[in-house]
This record gives sequence, structure tokens and C-alpha cells, in this order.
Amino acid sequence: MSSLQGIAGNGFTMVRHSKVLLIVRDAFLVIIIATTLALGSNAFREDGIPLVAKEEYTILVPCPESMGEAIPINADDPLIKDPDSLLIDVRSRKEFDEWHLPQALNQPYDWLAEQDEVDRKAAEVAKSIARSRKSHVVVYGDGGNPDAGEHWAASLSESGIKNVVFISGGAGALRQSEALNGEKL
Amino acid sequence: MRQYWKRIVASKWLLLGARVYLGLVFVIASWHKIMVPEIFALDVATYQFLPLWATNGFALVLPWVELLAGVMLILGLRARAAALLALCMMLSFILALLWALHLGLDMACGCFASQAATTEDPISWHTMVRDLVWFALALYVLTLDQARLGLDRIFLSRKVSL
Repeated sequence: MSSLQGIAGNGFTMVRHSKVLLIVRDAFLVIIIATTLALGSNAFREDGIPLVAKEEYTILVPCPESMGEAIPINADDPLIKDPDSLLIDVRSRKEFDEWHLPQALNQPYDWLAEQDEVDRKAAEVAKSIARSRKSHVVVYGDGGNPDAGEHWAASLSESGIKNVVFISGGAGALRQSEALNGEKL
Repeated sequence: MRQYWKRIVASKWLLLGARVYLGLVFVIASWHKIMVPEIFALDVATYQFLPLWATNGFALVLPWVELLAGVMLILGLRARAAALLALCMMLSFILALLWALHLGLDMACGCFASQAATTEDPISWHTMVRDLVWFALALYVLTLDQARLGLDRIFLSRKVSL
């Protein structure tokens, strides 16, 4: 009797094992079909991507460690026109309305704010920058001394944002460059 | 009382609801990833979870696995195999999320739309809880689905009648 029970028990275990194997087999089949579809559709796409990336992706996310100081660039730097650059104008709303670079975001820098407040604001802006997926952040202020653009860029850099630059001379230098080149930036 | 709860949990209608819901989640999640693989590859790279050589391949294949598993769950076609895939995918997403949270990355999850398109879905412990719920649903379907509602049922009854 007990040997019969043993045989029945073994049979039941085998059925369960074969069921599990069938589930795993079907899952593998799905992966094979999905891989075929993925590679096939990618091969036929005009904007298909290479199977192995050749260059490191430029990732712009805040990391816990500080990324260092912001770097100054000139008003005619190609980064300003680069579609992968996020432009931030840190002058007052009024100055921004009078003139600003196309696509620039206005994020006025408050000289009277406490450092904690500035850092908190910079961390908030850093979040939206990280999600914008741009590869560079170009900040400009009024170009005065001290320059709000430089301060904002430094605050963003301290928030962990990579690739932050500021325009040396700020909006004044940009408008001068615009006038010299005879083209709108 | 215990039997009553057992019957409720193993109810074919509850399982159908779980399957269709999970299936829809995967189908919707796969769509933008299939349409713009280059953006999804960037999202994958942002997690800093995979080596560079594996990033594009993963970004290409994963959305199709999501789509097929989602459709199979909805239709009830090899639903347990689809649930197994969903379980494995949810596990990998949870591990990637834990990794990103550990690194302190402040980014959108990229689960349903590319990070470029949304600022509404930042990774957080809330995202983690959501993924754990879907993980539990996949486990529920995998362990209890008996193919009583769906295409498997039709194919099985045909086999029996033959």
C-alpha cells in the first residue's frame, strides 16, 4: 500500500515538474519571438539603434557627490545654440521679458535670499534639469560683478548637476555678440 | 471560513481581473519604448545598472517581451508563462529601482513615458511599492491561474474533444 502511495506521489511530483518545465519553455519561446521581432523591426527602421552602443551615453542626473565648479564660456560659444543645451536666464522677470535667448527658462536669482533658500531652490531646479534629458546647462545672468549667472551655475553644480557652464559677461555679452554677428542667437 | 476565502482568492473572475489589469500595464508600458528605442536606451543608461554593451540590446528586446507578455495575459494565452515573464521583469525593475535609489539618482522612472516626456513620475519609494504590488499580482496569476477563462481554455477543450 505504501509503495503504491509512493508511486502515486512520485507521479504527482513528475506531473508538477513537467508543468513547471512547460511554463519555463513557453516563457523562453516568448523571449525568442520577442528578440526576433525586436531585431527585425530595428533593422527595418530608419532610426534604428546599433545593437551595441559605441559611445557612453551622456547622462545628466544629480549625483550625491559634488561635480565641481561651473565653467565660464564666451557669448559666441556653440554650446549656446546646441539643441542639447538647457538655457537658464537668471535675471529678473522684467529683464527677461525685455530680452532673452529663445528657449531660455527664467529662474531669477534672489540676492537677498538666505543661502539655505538658494540651495533648496537650486536643488528643485536641478530635479527639473535632470528630467529634461539635456546634456548641458547654460546659465546666464546680467554679467555684473558679482554675476548672478555664475552664482546660479555654482549652486547647480553643487547640487550635483554635471556639465554646467555660465556665459561670461551674461546677457550684455550675448546681445553684443548678437549685434556683432548680425544674427539673432 | 477558510474555504470561503480560498474560493474567493482562487476565483476565476478575480484572476481574470488581475490578468487583464497586469496585461494592460505591460502593453501600455511597452508602447513608447518600442516607438522610441533610442530614448528608452538613454533611460536604461541613466539607471547605470547595465554595462554599456548590454544597454541597447536590453532596450530593444525588453519592450517586445513586455508587449507579448501583456497581450498573452489579456487573452489568457499561456498566461502562466506570461506571468512568469512579468514576474522576472518586475523583479529586474525593482532591483534597478533599488540601485537607483541607493545611488541617490534623482530622475523620472521612465516606466510609462520617456524621461524627456514627463516630469510626473520620479523614482521614489512610492514607485517601489507600486512595482511590488505588480510583482505580487504576477505571482498570484502564476501560482493560481488554471486557464479557466481565456484562449488556453478554448485550445484545451479542443484538444480534449479531438
